[in-house]
Amino acid sequence: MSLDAALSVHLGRFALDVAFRVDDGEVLALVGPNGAGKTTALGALAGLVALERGRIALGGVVLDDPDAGVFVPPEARGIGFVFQDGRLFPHLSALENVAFGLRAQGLPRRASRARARDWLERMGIGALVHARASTLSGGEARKVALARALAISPRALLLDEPFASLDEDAQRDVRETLRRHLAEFAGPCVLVTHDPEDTRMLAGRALRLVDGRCGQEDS
Amino acid sequence: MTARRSGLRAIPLPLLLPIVGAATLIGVPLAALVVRAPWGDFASELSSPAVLTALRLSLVCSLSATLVSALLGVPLAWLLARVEFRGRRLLRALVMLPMILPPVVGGVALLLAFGRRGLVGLWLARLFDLQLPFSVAGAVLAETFVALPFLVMAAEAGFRQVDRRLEDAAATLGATRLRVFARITLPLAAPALAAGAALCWARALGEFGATITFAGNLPGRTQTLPLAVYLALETHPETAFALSLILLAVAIAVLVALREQWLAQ
Repeated sequence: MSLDAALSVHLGRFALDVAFRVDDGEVLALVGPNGAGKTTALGALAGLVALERGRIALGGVVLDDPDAGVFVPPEARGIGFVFQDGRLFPHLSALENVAFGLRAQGLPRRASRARARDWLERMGIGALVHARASTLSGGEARKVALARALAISPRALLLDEPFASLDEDAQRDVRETLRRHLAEFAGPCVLVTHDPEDTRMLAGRALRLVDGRCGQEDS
Repeated sequence: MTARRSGLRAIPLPLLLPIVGAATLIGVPLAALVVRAPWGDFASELSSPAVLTALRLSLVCSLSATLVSALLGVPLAWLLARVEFRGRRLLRALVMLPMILPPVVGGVALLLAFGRRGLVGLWLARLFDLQLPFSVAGAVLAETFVALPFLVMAAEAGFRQVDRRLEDAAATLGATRLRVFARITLPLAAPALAAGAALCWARALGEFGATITFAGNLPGRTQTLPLAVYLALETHPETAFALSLILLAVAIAVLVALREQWLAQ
């Protein structure tokens, strides 16, 4: 299975025009300055932004192809997304946040909660199951967000600056947690980051975006 | 450098007069109601069967109108807040119109639509033998017509405040649009919905013009509290005062309950 993407989107005066391929078990880092289109690229892969031209296919299944009139909505893509700010549901507990996707997949309540608890324990935050999302620290929230995205057994994983605005200790802690889980993750993964350290530790390959276009690629 | 005058001393004198006037205009009649209320035999004024009937009917009708408004108005408010479509502004204006429309005009319009010979009423009578005027359902319909906009307005504002990015996050986790609405959007907008329901209920409870025009003034069926007040004023003014005080107290209670939502400043 691989993620094949040729993304072309206009948002106002900004134009994104990139193409890349990520293989199973591979982590591609998208790097580049602010406003280069990294987050927009992830949005297109997840189905939150529709392509104007181009094509997205995951494991041979087309997810978005405007020329062919194909658009699979985000809820049907099975692509895990860890957002920049964690974006946890503030009215739910850590456990309910992680169980949310499992419930949406039709898993019964008890089984969902048991599996969510497992995930939180694997992230090392089993003690926080009943904590409200709004009371968690930055590092804890990122781990819950990571557990929430992985719990749905996604076919691909998107990470949008998973360590942004964390202090150094939390950053190291979350990065290490993520590294362990990425080693086990079988699908393709795209990581958006500013930090060369992230690329070095987590990604096999980096693609530099500048003004919505591919710059050089380094491995 | 001059020190800035603060507090009431900052008010220019020519503005003071209209300000006092406005406060007096609203404050004095309400104070009069409190002063003139039959405090001594409050209980006996309210214990007559006619009053109790009107009280019970008012509760039933206003709560039913609030329920109907919530069932019909919450999805509509979501539509207005979240979906872009041609005619959205027109639809919003139409839904808000009863807030500005004289209630008696609303009553006339309801008669022309749902009256015995109305556009829809004719068929309701023929097909289902259903007659809305002069029935409890008619009173509920009149109150809903007038009170629905209050709920829609508050609920739309509540839905707009919900972070769309949370809805996006829910979608990436596999949630259908209905699930996103039920589990994310609705609970996050809940405080605003509750405020809207309270406003809607208060407006329904006080409804007079549309109700008397469309539903009439039948004790036990369509004679709600405001109608009973108006009628009692002729014959038992003390009862009218007592009932008015109750409606005033309810209004104040709703205002106090909403202070977090609406009177934050």
